[in-house]
Amino acid sequence: MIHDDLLRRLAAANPVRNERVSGAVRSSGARALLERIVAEPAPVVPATRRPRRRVWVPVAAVLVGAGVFLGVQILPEGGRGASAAARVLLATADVAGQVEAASAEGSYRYLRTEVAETQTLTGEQGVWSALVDLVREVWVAPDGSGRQLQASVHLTFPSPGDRERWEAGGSPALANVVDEEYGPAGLPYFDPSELPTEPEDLEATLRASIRPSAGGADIQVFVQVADLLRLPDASPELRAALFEVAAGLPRVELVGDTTDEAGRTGTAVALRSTDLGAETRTELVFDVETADVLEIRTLILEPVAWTPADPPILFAYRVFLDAGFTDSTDERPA
Amino acid sequence: MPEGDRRARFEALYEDLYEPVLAYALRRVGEDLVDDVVAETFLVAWRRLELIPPDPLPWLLATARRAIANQVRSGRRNRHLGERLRSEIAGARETFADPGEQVSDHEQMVGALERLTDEDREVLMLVSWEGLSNERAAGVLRISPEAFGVRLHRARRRLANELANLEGRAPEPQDGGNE
Repeated sequence: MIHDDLLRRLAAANPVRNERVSGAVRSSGARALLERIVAEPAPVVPATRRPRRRVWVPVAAVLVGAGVFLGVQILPEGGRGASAAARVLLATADVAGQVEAASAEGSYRYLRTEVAETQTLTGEQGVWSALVDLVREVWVAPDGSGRQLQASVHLTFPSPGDRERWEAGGSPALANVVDEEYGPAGLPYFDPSELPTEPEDLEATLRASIRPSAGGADIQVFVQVADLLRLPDASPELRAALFEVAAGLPRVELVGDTTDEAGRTGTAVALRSTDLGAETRTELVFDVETADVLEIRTLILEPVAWTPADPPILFAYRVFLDAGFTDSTDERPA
Repeated sequence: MPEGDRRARFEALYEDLYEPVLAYALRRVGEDLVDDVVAETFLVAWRRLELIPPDPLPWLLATARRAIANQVRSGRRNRHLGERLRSEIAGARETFADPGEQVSDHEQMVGALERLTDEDREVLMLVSWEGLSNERAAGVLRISPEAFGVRLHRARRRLANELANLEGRAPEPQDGGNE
């Protein structure tokens, strides 16, 4: 029932009343369409679109990720896991293509991200590590001017011994609170409309931009996909293509249902790597219903020398919180 | 899901929602594109059956919306909305009991509607023509019901203003600009 005169007048002007289509499902055309559709076998999505050569570089990568491993269901690498990951990513690409981009009204693109990375230090008390977690807000205009605010610094130690050695060393600060304004060209700004939206072209563009010194090429593409998906001005076509690029990465595997650091439920797919000198799994967490990307995180899966903690060890993560546009660096999107 | 169960579930979905999807397409594209839009929508539904939520209509209409965009993007021109709707209304002229005033009002409404942006038009049509609640219409656009409410408020005001312009009246007040 419409309780609004204007909308009721609009409803009255509806040129295709429901009565006009009543019974249409029993027409010969509708029955023929149904038969044609159900004659198609239930879908099986291939694991990857085509084989690719892996590029390995002998440098520890700046991986992103880590996070909540409780409740994560690990499927076997390859086989059903790989195929299932591609299937989920392609289905999410469909959703992403239907979700309208945020209205880009406002001078500044705003991003709020919870960022964490493991720092390892050596002192008189020995080697110790801590996961340094902070919340970063960035306002950036197309000319590169803007503001960066970094606060809520929190430390997590992988073992009691790590905390003891940090305290014995005088509990040094591992990150600072930052609040700085920047003039033109002071902050990096990227316009996602510059990227192609055909998946093959997009992947080629992403691969052309990776740095050989920053670790495995596939992992870098995976991380780029996450960073671009969270931009509020990424078009539906670009977002769909990004999920398709992730679906085509070799050996992408389905982790399953999970929870991100902010407590949001999602689905994770992952790539494994040895770029840190130990086996790691970098997970992309997203919502299959909305195609929102929630987090990217890296877990170390085997024992390492710099901490006595048992694997899996949460190494790093970025939790994608808010994104939108504002008219000033003092505002946050509603 | 076993093959037989899958087919039965899809057939039930098709029986229930073929007509709303057909009507949605007929309201937005010329008849030359309608069959393709409906076919693409239900083919996607068949392929993604396991991902369709418990309330499937918003999902299907969102898929139909994308199918329309695909058809138009692929070069199959969609006849201009106003031209098509006027033709529909003219076709219905003879069946109205009181053709004069009613048809004129409908034509003015369509004239005002076609002056809006695609986004405003879709918001209004989902509520007025598809008869969806704000929550279900928000599901079609994949936005929150709150965001949909804001868009509907704005779109409604713009429609009223366009209608006022066509009728030579003063536009509606701006709610103090508080949106």
